[in-house]
Amino acid sequence: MTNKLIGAKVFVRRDEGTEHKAELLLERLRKGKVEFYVHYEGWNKRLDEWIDETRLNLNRPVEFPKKKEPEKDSKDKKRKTPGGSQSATATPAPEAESTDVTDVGEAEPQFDPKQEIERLRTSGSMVQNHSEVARVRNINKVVFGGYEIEPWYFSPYPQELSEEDEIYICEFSLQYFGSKFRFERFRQKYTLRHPPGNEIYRDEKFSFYEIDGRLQRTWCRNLCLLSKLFLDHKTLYYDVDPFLFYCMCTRDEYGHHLVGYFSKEKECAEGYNVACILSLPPYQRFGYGKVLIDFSYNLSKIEGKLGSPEKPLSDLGLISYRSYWSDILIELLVEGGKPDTTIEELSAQTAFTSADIMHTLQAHSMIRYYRGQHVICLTSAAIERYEKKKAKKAHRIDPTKLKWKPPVFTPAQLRFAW
Amino acid sequence: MGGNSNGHVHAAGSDAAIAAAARFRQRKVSLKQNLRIVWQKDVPDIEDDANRDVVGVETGVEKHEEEEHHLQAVLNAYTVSLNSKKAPEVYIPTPKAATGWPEYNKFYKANWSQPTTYIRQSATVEDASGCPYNMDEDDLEYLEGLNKGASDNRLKCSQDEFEMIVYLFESTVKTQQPFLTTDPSQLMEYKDLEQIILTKIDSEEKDPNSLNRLLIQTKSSVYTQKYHPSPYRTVAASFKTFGSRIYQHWKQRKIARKGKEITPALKFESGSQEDENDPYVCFRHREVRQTRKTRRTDQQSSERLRKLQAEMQQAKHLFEMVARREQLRLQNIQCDWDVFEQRCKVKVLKRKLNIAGDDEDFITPKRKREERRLPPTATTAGTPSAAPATKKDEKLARPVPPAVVGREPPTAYVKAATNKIPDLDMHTLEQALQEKDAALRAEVKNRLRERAEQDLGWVNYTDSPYVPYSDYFDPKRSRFERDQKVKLDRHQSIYSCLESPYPCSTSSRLKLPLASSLGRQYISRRAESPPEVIWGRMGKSGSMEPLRKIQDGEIPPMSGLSVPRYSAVQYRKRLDRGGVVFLDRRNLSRKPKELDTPKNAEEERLVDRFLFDNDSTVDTIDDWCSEPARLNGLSEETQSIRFGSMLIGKSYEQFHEVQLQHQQHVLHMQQKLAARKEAVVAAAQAAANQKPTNPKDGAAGGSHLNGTASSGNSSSSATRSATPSGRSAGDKKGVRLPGWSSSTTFTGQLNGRSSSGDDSDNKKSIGSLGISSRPPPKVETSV
Repeated sequence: MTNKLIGAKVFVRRDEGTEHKAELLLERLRKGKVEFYVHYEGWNKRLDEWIDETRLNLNRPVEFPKKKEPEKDSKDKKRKTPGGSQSATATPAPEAESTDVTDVGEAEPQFDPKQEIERLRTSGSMVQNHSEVARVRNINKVVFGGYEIEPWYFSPYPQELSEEDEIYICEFSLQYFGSKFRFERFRQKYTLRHPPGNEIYRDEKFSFYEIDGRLQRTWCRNLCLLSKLFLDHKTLYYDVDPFLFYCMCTRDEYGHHLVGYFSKEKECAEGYNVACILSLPPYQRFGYGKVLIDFSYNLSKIEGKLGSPEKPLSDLGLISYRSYWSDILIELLVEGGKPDTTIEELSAQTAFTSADIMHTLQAHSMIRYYRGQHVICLTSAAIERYEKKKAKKAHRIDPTKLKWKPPVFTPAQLRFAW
Repeated sequence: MGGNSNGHVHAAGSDAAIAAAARFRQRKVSLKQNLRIVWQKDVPDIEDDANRDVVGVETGVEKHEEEEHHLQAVLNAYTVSLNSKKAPEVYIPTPKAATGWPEYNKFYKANWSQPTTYIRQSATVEDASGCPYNMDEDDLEYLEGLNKGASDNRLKCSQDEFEMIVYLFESTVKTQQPFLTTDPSQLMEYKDLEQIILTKIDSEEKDPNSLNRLLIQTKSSVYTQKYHPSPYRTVAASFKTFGSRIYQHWKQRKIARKGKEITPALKFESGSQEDENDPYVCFRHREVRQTRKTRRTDQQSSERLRKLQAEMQQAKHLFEMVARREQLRLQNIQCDWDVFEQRCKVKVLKRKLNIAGDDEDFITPKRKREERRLPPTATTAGTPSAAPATKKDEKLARPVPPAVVGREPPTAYVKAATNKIPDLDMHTLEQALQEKDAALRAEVKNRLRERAEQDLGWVNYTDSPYVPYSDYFDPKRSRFERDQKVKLDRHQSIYSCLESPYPCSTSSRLKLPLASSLGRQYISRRAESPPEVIWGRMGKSGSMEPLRKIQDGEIPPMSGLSVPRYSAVQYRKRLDRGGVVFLDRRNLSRKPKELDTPKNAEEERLVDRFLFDNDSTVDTIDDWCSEPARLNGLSEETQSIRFGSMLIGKSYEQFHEVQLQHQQHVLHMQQKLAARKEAVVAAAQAAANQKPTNPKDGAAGGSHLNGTASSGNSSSSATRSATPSGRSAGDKKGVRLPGWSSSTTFTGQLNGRSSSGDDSDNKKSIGSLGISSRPPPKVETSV
């Protein structure tokens, strides 16, 4: 019976007492109990979880999957995690739903993995949605520094680690261990107390490090593996060489604790100034994400370039970026005290791309058509937002403390095959 | 996918825009368009079209995710807030995170101190984490079993040792059997492994250049951490002791792991097809289109690599040498220390036994010898050498048995001079001064030589030389000598051309060799020669006449090349028969004289006769300042302008001063001479009457001297007639004076330094006369 249920959409009782429709993706046996891995419809994948069989509400109607396409199925079999003995439908609910959007129909379903990999290769980017990414979380719990964290997504840590209840990640080396004693031994030997690179910024609260993926391969790989736990669209398909990693740390008597980072291509054809950006879950909702973003734009200002984050953004990324853009733009408009401005001027002042500025202004409906011409309208909502921010005194990067020159690479250094 | 979805978003966005445009006006805003900034409260009539605007905003989020419930909730909350309504704070829920881990302090130590500067660091994770193998619980269990029998810690296998041995196994097998995973049963036997590993260890330890060896010697913590886990055993010994036993354990694990590494490792691409679809395979190499390379670039790059390698090796070698040197130094210092300690003991013993023998004297000379060798060591390794000194001080402060007191201080004194103090201080000051002086000198010389070389091929016709004479060049010489130098310089160097009586000014007659020879002269005089090098003059024939010792043949044979010179006033002292001293004076002759052209014997004789009689001529500055003008055929006007400008130069002023001084001096001398004149003249006349002149003459100067010998009928006749004999006297002395015109004589002896003065009586007067040679003294022909 359970076999049949895989791929079906069933209502699942949640802890809150509500019920939500979820797709059953996998089944496993734990301590004599059957557990299902479920994806809640319309919710982000990070909320997928293993649930006890008993939480399924089979009294409500069960939606069985439509007929599977045979060739796709075979492909799915290969890419399944070993934990999933049965093959499940790989067609996620959202994809099926996306057909609703009229003009999207033609491209979306015919998804070609080869093309995708080719795009990865040529663009050098790491945030593309890699088709091969497993949809089931493989790590149960991560002990990182002083925190126990539940991972959100799959990350290609050594397969053996997914068998462990929790894995240990050294806060300073980001080295991963399934065995606690092994971790202990490593901790006894490891000498560094900060990311292995150059500190390029330090203020009263944060330090930033610049780390070259090519020079610190192990550390950067570890960082990518770690961040992959929390970034869905990150791919680790290719190596870390073409990237620079900017790591934000807080300091105390233990050392420099990594709280977030963003990666940046050494040479980006599309003009992105951020490839991946993440503040680690224990440090989320402190506004650290905006500090990271602020830092990335400070780098762009030094480079004399406009920058934008690489797309697609995650939901959290979008919220953070929008919020940051709004804060900066509204502040600039209110405090600038100018009677008029242009989008270009704003762009030059902030290092935001004009598209991002337009979007932000539009999202706040601050671009208005008034008496025959376009104006920027400081809406009362915007003013309210501004005053709220002022009262909060968000942490800002102090450009005078940034000791950084844009690194220069020779063409040979930017050829990443070896 | 991203691109695709972006496309869709765009499509969706433009759809919305089109829809909007249909209902409202055109929305496009140019980037360069000036946009007025208005406050909503100021323009109440602005339409509230918030809802409409949000529609078309591109999010950059993947399409299907964009529609996720929680994101939409947040975005909606946003829109709601835009409309100034209170919206609930909405968050996107995330899995629970960040519960504090209770064991944190067990694994992390709170002993980090923050550096004040920004951290710069290049060590990798591997560099900083010691032995790459970390033992796990299974290993621990095994190890405890292994150590059970051993009572003493020394006999136990430490965890570090265990890890090192397993790492040796792992790394060796990885290189020896890279495809072990295909058949784990093929795992190497212990014997083979042991042999490989021991040879490796051995070669590393024996190779004097190996990093390990250096690390061993320096007792570096890096080494102990990474390569030398046991304080009791060498690496090889550890391996021999425990290797075979641990091998069994390791082999079990290895086979259980199916030949894979015991520590779980990331999955990299293996080259098989399945890689593509394996989500665990990560960090693939990026394939890049091979750029076409020409053979030349290949060659270049390989050459560059070779060069680089050589450089690196050199650097490595250097480091090794430095390391070895430091070790030797350390040994040296240690030795010194030992010796010192031994001595201290001896001293204490002696005190105890009240021996007041001179054993210390026996020690000190030994010590001294050491000291001489030591200083460099002592200076670099300051602290250890300083230590004995302080110790000794303590000892001095201590009450000393009276018997020894007498001896102690001198010993202490000698000892106080240990290592640091002795040679260095005394020498350095002196040397430093000398060096500084020498450097200055060399610099000045160099400058002068450079300048001269630049001027090679040019003849200086200006009145004012660009380098005025200055005493500075020879600070060592006495005042008197300097005066001499002034005179000589004027004769022989920079003024030479200027004073030349010959019309050699036209360029056509100025040949390059001549010029270059001048240049050389210049160099040898001004720049290089110490004062005593050369004193010579240009003979009429144009050759150089050395009057005194020439050093090292500095003057090349230049006959026929040089320009003859003519000085303001010249003197010659002769010693005639009967001890009569003649002093010949030659005045400035302004008539250009042709070389070797005795046109008319009569004329010549006439000229000759009046040569020394022209007392009215007084050489003043103006005289020889105006001379170049005449030489160059310049008008008086031009010359005066030149002169005027020259006056401006400081150099001239200095010169002028010197000139004045000399004139005064000369006047003074003249007065003196005048007082003595009478007596001298009387004596000279008496002598001259007794001994008539010798008509025979040296062959050398014959042609120039025609008729001179007999033509003595003026007041200066004595002088002239004396010339030949003077020359013969010169000949006797072995100095040839071939180019001398009969009347122009100039003696080296004039300078007071000469020790070869013939007559001590006359020395004084001549010496004093010599000083005044340049400005013409109004001296009657003496003798």
